[in-house]
Amino acid sequence: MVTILAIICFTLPILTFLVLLFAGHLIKRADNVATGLMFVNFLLALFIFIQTFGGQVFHTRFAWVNFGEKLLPLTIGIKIDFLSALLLVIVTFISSLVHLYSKSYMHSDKQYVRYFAYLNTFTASMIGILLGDNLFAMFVFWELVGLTSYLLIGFWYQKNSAVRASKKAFLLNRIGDLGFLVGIMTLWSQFGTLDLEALYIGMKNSEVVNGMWSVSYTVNGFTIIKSLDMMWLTIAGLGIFCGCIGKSAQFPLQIWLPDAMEGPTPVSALIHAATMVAAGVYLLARVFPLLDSFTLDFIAIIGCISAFMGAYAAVSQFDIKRILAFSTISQLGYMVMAMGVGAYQSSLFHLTTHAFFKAGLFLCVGAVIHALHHLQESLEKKHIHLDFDVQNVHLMGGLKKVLPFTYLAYFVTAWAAMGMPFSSGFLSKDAIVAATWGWAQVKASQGQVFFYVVPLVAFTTGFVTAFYMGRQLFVVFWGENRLQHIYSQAKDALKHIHEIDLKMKIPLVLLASLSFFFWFSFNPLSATDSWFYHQILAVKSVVPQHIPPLDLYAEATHHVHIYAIILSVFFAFAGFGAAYLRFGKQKTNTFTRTIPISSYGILQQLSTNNFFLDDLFKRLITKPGLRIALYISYFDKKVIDKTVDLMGVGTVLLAHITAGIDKYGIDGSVNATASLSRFIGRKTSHIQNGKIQSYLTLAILGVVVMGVILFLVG
Amino acid sequence: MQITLQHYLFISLFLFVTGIYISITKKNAIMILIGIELILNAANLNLVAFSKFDADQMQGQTFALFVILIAACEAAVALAIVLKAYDYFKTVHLNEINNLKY
Repeated sequence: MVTILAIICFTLPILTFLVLLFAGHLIKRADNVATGLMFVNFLLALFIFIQTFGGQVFHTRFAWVNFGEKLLPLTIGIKIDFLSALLLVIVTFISSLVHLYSKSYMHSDKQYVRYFAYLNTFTASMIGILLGDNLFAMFVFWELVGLTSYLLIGFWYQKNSAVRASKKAFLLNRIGDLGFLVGIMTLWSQFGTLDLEALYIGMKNSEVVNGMWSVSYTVNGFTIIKSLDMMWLTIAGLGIFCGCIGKSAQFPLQIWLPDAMEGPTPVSALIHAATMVAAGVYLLARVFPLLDSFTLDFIAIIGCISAFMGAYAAVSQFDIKRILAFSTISQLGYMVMAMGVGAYQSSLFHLTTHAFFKAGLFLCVGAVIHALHHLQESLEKKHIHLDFDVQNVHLMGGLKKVLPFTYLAYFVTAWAAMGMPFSSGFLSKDAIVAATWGWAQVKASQGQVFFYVVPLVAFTTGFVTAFYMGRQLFVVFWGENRLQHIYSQAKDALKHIHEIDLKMKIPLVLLASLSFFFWFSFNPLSATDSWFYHQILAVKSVVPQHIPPLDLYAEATHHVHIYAIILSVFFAFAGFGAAYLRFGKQKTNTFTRTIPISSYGILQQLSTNNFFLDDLFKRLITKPGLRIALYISYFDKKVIDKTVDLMGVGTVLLAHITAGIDKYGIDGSVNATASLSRFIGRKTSHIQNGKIQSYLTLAILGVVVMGVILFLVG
Repeated sequence: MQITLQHYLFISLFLFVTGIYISITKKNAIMILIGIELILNAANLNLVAFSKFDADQMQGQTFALFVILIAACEAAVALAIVLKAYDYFKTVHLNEINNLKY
């Protein structure tokens, strides 16, 4: 029954998408239909979620493609356990909130119906990833999610920057997917199946002997033994992690996420806060038992790098959404890092809390942008044409006076983002940094002291996180409004800014309230005894070699937990305090937008330009790629086209020669034969001259000849 | 000298060849008829000569009688043809009658 509900949960958005795409203009209030259906979807997901409490798993599977006697069939199935149900609830919840919010936010957009159609198909693809029980289905929906996010990011396709951003997102996702495919293919060639449960069993039964990783299994009575060099064990794990790097915007493929802010803000809330970027972490959770310790260390390092780079870059951004985009990169880095250090439950916990507070942050920011758009429009009505970037933080300020509700919601969700006490974000982030500390301790005891850099970076990033979140809070909401100071036409601009309407308030209220600690744990300091940690159980690794000592990690984490709490709270408050000292006390702008970026100091330039990663990609990959394409096009034009032309010319030449032979040779010989016949005829016809006597002569001559012949022969 | 068969045959050959020569060479149609008569008479001579030197029931002589008969009829018919041909072509010179040429 639960499986059927899950299938309904999946197909309902697809149907909505199809209906809206093809008949959307015929339905009155298509947006209400979409929102209502998504809410129904959420209720279904909630029901399924409740059913999975207590470790219940609902698994339906059937063989889809049969390859023959000696091969395992390709199976397709739906598996609903607590993890997928939890994420199902998160996805549908935030999707329905975004639907509601978008009714107000996208109200004046001409492509209103198409927007809702795309939202639905995105949600459906995301649900597809969650429900699949094998890597094949996950990969298919992985790609679909990439496609639908491309559609949503490039929603305002009339803007060139949006088109470029959506292409960038899709291509970088694709690069990650290449690695994902390598991982999938390695697992397939070794185990003959992509079903996750079968992979767990297969991995457990496999062994590494003499540097060869081998497994044997039976199919219909045939025993199959597969054997690969043991490095493929690590490569499989790394490959699957590449998919996560692409999708969850980790280093080095993180550059698509800031540019993806070209999409509408509710889209950013749905995709880049809560769902799509979390798909990578979900994948890691699903394949966690198949990763060996080398892969996990690599994952931890990459997560750590991404966390730091994201936070550092966020510090000097001045587009309000880009700050949050880099924040997402950073928080995803935390989640990935947690997976790498073996803190499976904490990573998923952070995924849950992050989904709520980040979506809340994005929707608050969307409210600010929306209000400023209205300001622009009301100024237009008064014939004051003021063309300013509504997302530029340097033009904001003092908005807490006119947007009090938004300010409150923003404050609560940012409190969670900074990991301040009594918020949900604190519980999850603190669990992660404690885990990194415990992990590094275990590593150091094994002689690898280098790994202490990971908790060091984790704590430092906590400081930086609090700093940039505080900066955004103070710069946008506190102080005086800078727009009024910079543009004289915008005097009294604040009077025209109104608070957002109810449709946008409800999601903010819900998400802000979910950023408090009490939903997740009754203990504000630690969530380890909460319902979450009881339902999501730690998984064991089943790799045959390089087994990560997860028990040791957990134990060490437990010991350092209290110190980690103290340290992370200290860093968070330090960061927030530093932001207050730097930005909170400024009354008017001390940094106008007229300062060009090139005159920033090098550290700030590194931050604003995201470590020049975009330039690096452009120089290393885009430009050479385009040049190769140019050379190939030259080759195509000059050589290949020329060859084709030459072949054409050659054919015509051949045709002419053939025609010549035909006309002069063949026709000539035919004509020659005819002339010869005529010649002979003319000559021999003279015999018939009508004279009787010559006929007689010839007859007698013939008789004589015959007589001579007979005489000679006889 | 004994007069053998060969002597008779030579004479008849001479007559035969002369007859052929006349019928090939002469322009006048009547002359050709004369030539044909000569040919026939040569054949007659041949037949009688053979009959003389082979005395079995005188077949040769009998056959010669028939030949003379046939020759007479044939001459009559031939003259009739020549007469009609002269009526049509207004000439008896065979060189000038060559309508059926190529």
